[in-house]
Amino acid sequence: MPDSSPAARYPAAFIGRGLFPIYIQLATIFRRLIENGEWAVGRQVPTHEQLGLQFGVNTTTVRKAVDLLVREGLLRAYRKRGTFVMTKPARQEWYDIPTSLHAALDTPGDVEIETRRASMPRQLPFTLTPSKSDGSGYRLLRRIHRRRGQPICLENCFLRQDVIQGAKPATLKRASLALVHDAEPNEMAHANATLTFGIADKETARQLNISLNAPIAILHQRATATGGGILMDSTSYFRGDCVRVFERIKP
Amino acid sequence: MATQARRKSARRRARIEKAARRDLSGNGLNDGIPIYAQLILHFRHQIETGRWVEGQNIPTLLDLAAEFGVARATVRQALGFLEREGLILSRRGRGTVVIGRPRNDLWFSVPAAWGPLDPERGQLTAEILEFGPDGRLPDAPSHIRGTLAARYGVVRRLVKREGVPYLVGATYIDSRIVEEIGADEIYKAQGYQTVEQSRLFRGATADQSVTVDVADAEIAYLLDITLNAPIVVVERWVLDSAGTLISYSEGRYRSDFVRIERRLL
Repeated sequence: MPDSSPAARYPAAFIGRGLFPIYIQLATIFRRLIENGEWAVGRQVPTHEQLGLQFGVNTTTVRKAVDLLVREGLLRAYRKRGTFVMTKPARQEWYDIPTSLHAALDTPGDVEIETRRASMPRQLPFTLTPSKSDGSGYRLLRRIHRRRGQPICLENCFLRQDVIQGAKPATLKRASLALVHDAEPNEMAHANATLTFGIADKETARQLNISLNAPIAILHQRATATGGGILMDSTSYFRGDCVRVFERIKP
Repeated sequence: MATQARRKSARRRARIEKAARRDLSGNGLNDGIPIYAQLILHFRHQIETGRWVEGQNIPTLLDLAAEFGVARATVRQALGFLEREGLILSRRGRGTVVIGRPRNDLWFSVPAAWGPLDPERGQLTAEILEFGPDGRLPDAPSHIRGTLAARYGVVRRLVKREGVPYLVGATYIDSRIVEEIGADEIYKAQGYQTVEQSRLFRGATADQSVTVDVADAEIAYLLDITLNAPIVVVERWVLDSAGTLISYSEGRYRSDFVRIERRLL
């Protein structure tokens, strides 16, 4: 039977490669072991000597990695008694990214959408061409979604101008697709959503209060009119640590 | 002498730690990642997303140093790395030009239905990382409902597509299914194929969740990406009609290879 202890599954081969100091690499492995429960909360972790042998690094490196997790509050070292797991990395409650029309029209009760600016866009994304039939242009809404006060998503939404013509402030708090659906209930022919993944640039990081390069999920929603042309084209940048797509795949 | 070396290494550590605490965006800890490594990720992303256009010059060393508030040497160190990757070329007196883009045309769309996750199986090659009758079910990122089976067999694979590593997948299968279908079959087949064949699958329900995480040292090594680079985690779990978790799978993908497309209306 294959050995399935952490030592076997995490051979030392990959430690020490790449850009990062070894103790930082080691810390990511320890963090994962705590996260997936292999190092259970309340339990003692192997000694520095044992870990050094397992991962093929010296005990000083182990100590530095452990120190990093001690500072994060995940581990605690007791003199003479060893190192124990205190808690798991904090996990926020999931925010479910909508993948159905019903969900996309709705805003969860604890989420508030603020439209910070509605303006004539200086430039339209190449996916949008101003509809020629009625000569109306687009408005760009810059929006921020907050869950219990914490920014969770930045949205740039291009809406056909007539959709939000004379919209009341209360209306502007609704999900973008709902704005279209309310204003033109019969005109929406298609709507689709695409989710991709990336990392936060400086501005996104600042506004979402996350680190540069932190993972983000990018939701692109688009609604097409029956007569052709785009009613709405919206791009939302979600902080990656608390969003998911959840679906039943077999009823 | 030893004291001096110790002092020197303490100073060095203090310096690294200070850098680690200093987040480029000014938002607190960034997992102790050296600044040049953060810059590499950021710059590479600029190229991947086409914000730095192939064939055109990137901003000057001076501009980049000013933008991030770091020393020019740090920026140079990061750019040197990308140059060795063949993404940029610095030309004396003429600036630094983008000459390549990291390959990201291997993406696939995560389906919202039971069945295979990845398309075009023919181009895939798998390497078994772990195979055994006694898998320790991980505490999953998305919590699992249902009661646990007594034991799970586990298969963990590194999957490459056209030679590019793109997935580390682990499948945990109720031992009753392993006995019913046979361990050989589980070694060979994809997780979903094995589970489908079982009588326990009748009347079973399955859910899927897609979340984002960052690569730890092992995943970074296996997928040949940078530590802390984003990865996409696709989890699937199957509950039989009695509410027992008969299968759980977790795939960790390179994030630039995965997208989700859904028709809303």
